[in-house]
Amino acid sequence: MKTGLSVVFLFMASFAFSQYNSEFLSFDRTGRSISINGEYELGSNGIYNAFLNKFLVGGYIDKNLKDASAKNMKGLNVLGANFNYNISAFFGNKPKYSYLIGFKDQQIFNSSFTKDFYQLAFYGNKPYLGETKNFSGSSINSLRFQELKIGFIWHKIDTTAKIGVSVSILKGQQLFYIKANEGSSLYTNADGTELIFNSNFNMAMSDTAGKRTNPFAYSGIGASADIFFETPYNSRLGQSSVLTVNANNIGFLHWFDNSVQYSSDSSFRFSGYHIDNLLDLKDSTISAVNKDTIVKNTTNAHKESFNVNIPANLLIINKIIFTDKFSFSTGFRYLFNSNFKPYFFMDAEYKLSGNFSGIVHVGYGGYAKLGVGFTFIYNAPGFYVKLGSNSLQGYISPKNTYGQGAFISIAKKFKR
Amino acid sequence: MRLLLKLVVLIGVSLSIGSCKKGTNWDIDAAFPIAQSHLNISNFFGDTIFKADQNGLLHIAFSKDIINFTLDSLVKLPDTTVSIGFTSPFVSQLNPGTIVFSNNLSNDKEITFAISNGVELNRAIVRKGQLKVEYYNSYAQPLNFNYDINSANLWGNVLHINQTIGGGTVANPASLTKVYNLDDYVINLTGLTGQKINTLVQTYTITTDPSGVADQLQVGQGLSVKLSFINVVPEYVQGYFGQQDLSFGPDSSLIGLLDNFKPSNLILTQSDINFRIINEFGVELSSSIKSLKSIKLSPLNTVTLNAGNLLHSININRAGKTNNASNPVFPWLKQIDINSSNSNLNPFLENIPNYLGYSIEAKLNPLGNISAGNDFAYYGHGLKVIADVDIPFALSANYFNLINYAKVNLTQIKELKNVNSCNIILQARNNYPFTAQIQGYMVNEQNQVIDSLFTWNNNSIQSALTDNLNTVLNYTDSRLVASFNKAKVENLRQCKQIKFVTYLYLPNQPTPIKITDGSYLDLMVSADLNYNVNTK
Repeated sequence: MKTGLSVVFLFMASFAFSQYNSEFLSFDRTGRSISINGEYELGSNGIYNAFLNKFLVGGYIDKNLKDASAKNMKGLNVLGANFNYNISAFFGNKPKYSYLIGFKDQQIFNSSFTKDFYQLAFYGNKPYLGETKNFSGSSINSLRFQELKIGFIWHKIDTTAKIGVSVSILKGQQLFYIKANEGSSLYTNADGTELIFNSNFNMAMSDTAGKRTNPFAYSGIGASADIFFETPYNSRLGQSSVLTVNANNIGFLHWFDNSVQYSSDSSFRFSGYHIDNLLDLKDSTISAVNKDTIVKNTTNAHKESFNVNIPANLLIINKIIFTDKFSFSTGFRYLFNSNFKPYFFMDAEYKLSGNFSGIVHVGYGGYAKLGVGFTFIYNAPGFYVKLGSNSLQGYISPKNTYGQGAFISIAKKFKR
Repeated sequence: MRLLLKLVVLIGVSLSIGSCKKGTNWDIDAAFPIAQSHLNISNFFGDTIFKADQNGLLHIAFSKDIINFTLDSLVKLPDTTVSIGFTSPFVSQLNPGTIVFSNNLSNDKEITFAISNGVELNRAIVRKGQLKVEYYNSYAQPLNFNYDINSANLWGNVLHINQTIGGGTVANPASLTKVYNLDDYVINLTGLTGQKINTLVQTYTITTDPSGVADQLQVGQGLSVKLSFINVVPEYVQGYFGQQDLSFGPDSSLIGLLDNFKPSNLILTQSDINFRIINEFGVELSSSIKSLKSIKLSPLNTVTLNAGNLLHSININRAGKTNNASNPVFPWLKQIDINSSNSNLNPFLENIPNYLGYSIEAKLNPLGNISAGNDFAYYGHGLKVIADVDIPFALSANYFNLINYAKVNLTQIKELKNVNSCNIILQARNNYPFTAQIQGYMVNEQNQVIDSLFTWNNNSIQSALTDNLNTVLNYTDSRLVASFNKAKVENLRQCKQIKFVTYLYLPNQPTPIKITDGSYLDLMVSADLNYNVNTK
């Protein structure tokens, strides 16, 4: 059993994000403390979890997996993932406010894709000879950056309200962005001897020197801010209510001069390289055919610095406390500068016994569709542990559900 | 706090495990074009020796130099060394500036060159060459050597040397070596009388140098000078070149064409070799092409050209002068046409020779010195015999066998490892009146065939539609598929070259086929593969 729990924990800890990517949200329960937090969420409204799991743990995507997602896929779909982990601390000795310092590593992946793009990517073009496959609207925006955060929380406004503010300096590690605009498509003729690629796309890469997997890569710099506001109020329902508004990742990254931008708005017809004498191939003939040449010839590539806004996270929660043991929250979440759909959710929290609580979560929207989750909280005087998922369906029935995620937060509370 | 540290370590370990996860992979079926080629007959045979006539019929047409005999072979100017100077027979007191010796009255005023083969020159222009002069002074005081080659003239000035040589002794004479350029000098070789041949005129004086002091010239003291004419290359020579007998060969000349053209039972309808004899020498010759042989190496076979007396007793007249320095010769040209009607030229060429064997003899001035010493030759001009070969591409054969090698190195293309299976499709549109059967052999580094591209039942490009006379009526489309499994793809990746062996089968034999400049074979290569995409 111990081993089983360790495996589950390892799995959880392998992916990182504190829930909703905000340090301030847990302050109510942890107070001044040092904590490590991790979260991941991954979802698509077109691709089932069983398929996505192959990208998480590796393995072969067979035809059944591909067919299952393709069957119910819409014309344009989204796929997104957020991974992060952080270590942070609230500290100070003032009665009304505490300071915040933290380090966080974030990976944000946003993608839209047409069904045609999916079919070409996972089946190839041969099943679609004589057809034009449309890419318009497909995009990928993948960011990885690290941040050093300082801030404070004013937790004794009118005795119970809280305001938190933090600013971060960001180190950009990797950016990959591509967007296929209107008219982008690929046509393969009936016998596969001609391809017509209508390329109307923009692409940007933070580097081309293979540094994207190196966490110490320094490809850009930026800044961001987080704002947190929480206030109790009297409501008709329950004993009291609490309104929480949190906005974080409000900022930008400046990618340095060695970043590369590509753009293309042309139609390319390819019916094979013209070789003067196919019966007398020379080394030079073959070496002239390489992908660098193709990219160079088909795109307008140039190196220059540029800025991008990072996806900002907005969270609004209204919590109604019915009894000392039960509360019910409704909430809204949205990620700006991304293809995250508005996410509406409900949380029902019940204090089980002693220091233990459980939260049942139901939500709809985001990268996936329906999400059902459960969170376990242990909140002792010295320790705080939160472990849960807002998308348990992804583990229960991965072949039939969209979206998955998990989060963990462990805090050692400072003595008051 | 310790728990937190443990958790941090745990996360680190789990991240490491995560980073070691195996890659995601899936299979796709892709179809795409690779290459296209518009092949004409030159591409088949690897040569650009095909020319169309006014009717569009292609001809194999090329020229081959058989002889190129130039001035340096005709007249060889040997390196020549002469010694001049003065050695005192008695003691005399000499002041600075005193004339010691002059060759005005001596008999060393002429230098005669020994030119071989009876060549008698009266005039020459030096293209390049040097006069090397070695001085030895055994007199105690410096001597001055004042030298003229009166016969050598450059822009109106004779070749003049004025050289001072320091003092020495009989036992240890002062020595000095100097080299003077002879380039562009015009040299009169008729001697003092103007009637001689191969002879130039020189004058010199030896004086005590004004920089020295008065001294006694002892017996045996004096100045010794060695003159060497070296590396002389003439730009122009004139005179009588003698009645030289020249022979060229027996030798052979590499043709180096159509090396991969291997027909079976080739029958030409017509052929022609036009021998051009170009004489740029100002001298008459009589010549005979004693023998011409078509030599094939594999299998070894020789066919001797039999053209009766057409190539014997050929009188060649002398070239004329244009008086234009940039193009000084007006050559004399004789053409002898050998064809399939007046010789056995068809069998000669049907042998597809690798080498042309020849034996040619010629005689200069067969009638003697009828030019009265006005034979001439210019540098870079000479006697040339050129064979212009013309074979109309109207021929019959069972088949042609072509072999081409394509060097490949696909080991660096790691994507090939992910190919599960593949079909390479060759679509051909053939406008030639022959069926092409193609096979590609993958050859490894040790020159061993490790695999082949096509199966024998699917490697034929069908002939164009023809009538009974083999005239092309319309093109024909064919589709060849080379199937590759994983092992065959790996063989392709490892091979270093692909040996393409092609058989071109001619229809309705022995009716000749005619290849025109409008004939073509369009090839389009595409791939149809099952590929494993791997994100690792």
